[in-house]
Amino acid sequence: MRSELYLDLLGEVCPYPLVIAKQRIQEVAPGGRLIIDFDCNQATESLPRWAQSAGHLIESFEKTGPASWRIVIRRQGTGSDEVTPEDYTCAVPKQGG
Amino acid sequence: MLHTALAGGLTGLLFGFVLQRGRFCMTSAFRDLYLTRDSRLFKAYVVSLAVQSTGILLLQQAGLVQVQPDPFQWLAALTGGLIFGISVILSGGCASGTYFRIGEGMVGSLVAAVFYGIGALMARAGALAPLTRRIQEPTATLNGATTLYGALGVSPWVLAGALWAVSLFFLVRSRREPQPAIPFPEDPHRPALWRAVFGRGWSWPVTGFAVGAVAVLAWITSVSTGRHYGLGITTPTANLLRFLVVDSNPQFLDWGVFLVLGIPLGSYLAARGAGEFRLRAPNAGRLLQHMVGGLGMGLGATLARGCNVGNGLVAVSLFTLNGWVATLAIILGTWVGAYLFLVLPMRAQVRAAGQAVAASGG
Repeated sequence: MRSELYLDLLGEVCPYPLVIAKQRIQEVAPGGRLIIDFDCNQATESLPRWAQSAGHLIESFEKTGPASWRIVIRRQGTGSDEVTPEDYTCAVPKQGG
Repeated sequence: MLHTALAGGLTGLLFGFVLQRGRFCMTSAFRDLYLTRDSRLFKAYVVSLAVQSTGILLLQQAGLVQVQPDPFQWLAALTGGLIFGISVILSGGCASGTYFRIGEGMVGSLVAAVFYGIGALMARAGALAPLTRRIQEPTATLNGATTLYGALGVSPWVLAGALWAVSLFFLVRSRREPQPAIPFPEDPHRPALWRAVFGRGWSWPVTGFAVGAVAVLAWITSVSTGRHYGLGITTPTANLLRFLVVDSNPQFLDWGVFLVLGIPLGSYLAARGAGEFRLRAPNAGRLLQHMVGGLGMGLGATLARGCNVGNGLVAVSLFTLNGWVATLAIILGTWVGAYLFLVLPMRAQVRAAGQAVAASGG
């Protein structure tokens, strides 16, 4: 468990950014930061949607250049350790209800 | 030739623009029905079918378009669709998805497209052509018809109406669902209209209507060049490759070739406008996957008489049995491919990680 984890996911295409983020946030201590640089357009939807629906806090989300984004997620939710089929999408985990 | 180039090229430009802004990835649309039960892109797809089928019926009624229904090559539609569906998971995008990602600067998709053309040409005129012909041999009719409405004995308008009914059901239901606010980094200094076009990706209803409208427009511009069909990617890709490499007979340079050249250009403009263009490539392993996937897509689409566009968008809107069976096989193929190439490897990784943690006493 660490307080901060940086992931360079530039070049990773859908659905891998979301899959990897969901896996690696397990290494972050509750309240710690997960910082992700990514360039998959579809992940601009899927990463924040997942973070919100999992109960994490989106500390910042910014565009860092052409087709590059950085999102900083604070781990809040308990988030299960299980990687489910839902993790393999570049689209979006279904919202509750 | 200039007319053909403009008619096909401008249609492709528009198609590429809409695909990029709508992030209209039919691989995701089909795959996520199974993987995440997320159906937003699939709903966009159904709306585009409703729009296109209605447009085609109107154009036919006005006498502007003549459509010859495809034969129902059931064996080829099934096997080709399955091969295509599995392959798009490897290649990282369906036919249209691959072309529009080229315009976003994704070199991996360019590689997939080249191998897609090679696979299609192999199956159509090369080493695999005899096999293609043999698999395409078994044909069938249902109640003496090769169309869905013929088999059911109803007017095609009934089926178009059914597509509208499903679309409206989706639209009404999504209005009722609460929309959580998902943050997106937007430039507040841009005018509202600019942000609507180039801000976050379009919503699924907008995307569905836009794709359907482009598909109808495609019929009009294509027919104006003497080609009586709508959007299509596989045959044009094979023709482009054939013209460039094998036989410079200008007959291969039809509306479709300019369409597929226009798509990356249109998505490039859309991506540049939105600041989503950058040249980038995946790692070597994934690149190899894209090559294999591209070959399989070309083979599968040639067998099935169409990819997710020629079959999934157009033939389904024409209600041909071949198109419906091929598209259902493509959908099934994406599920099989997602299980084989996404779910299983990731499970293995999770298990390995779990064992590593256990071994370190964590």
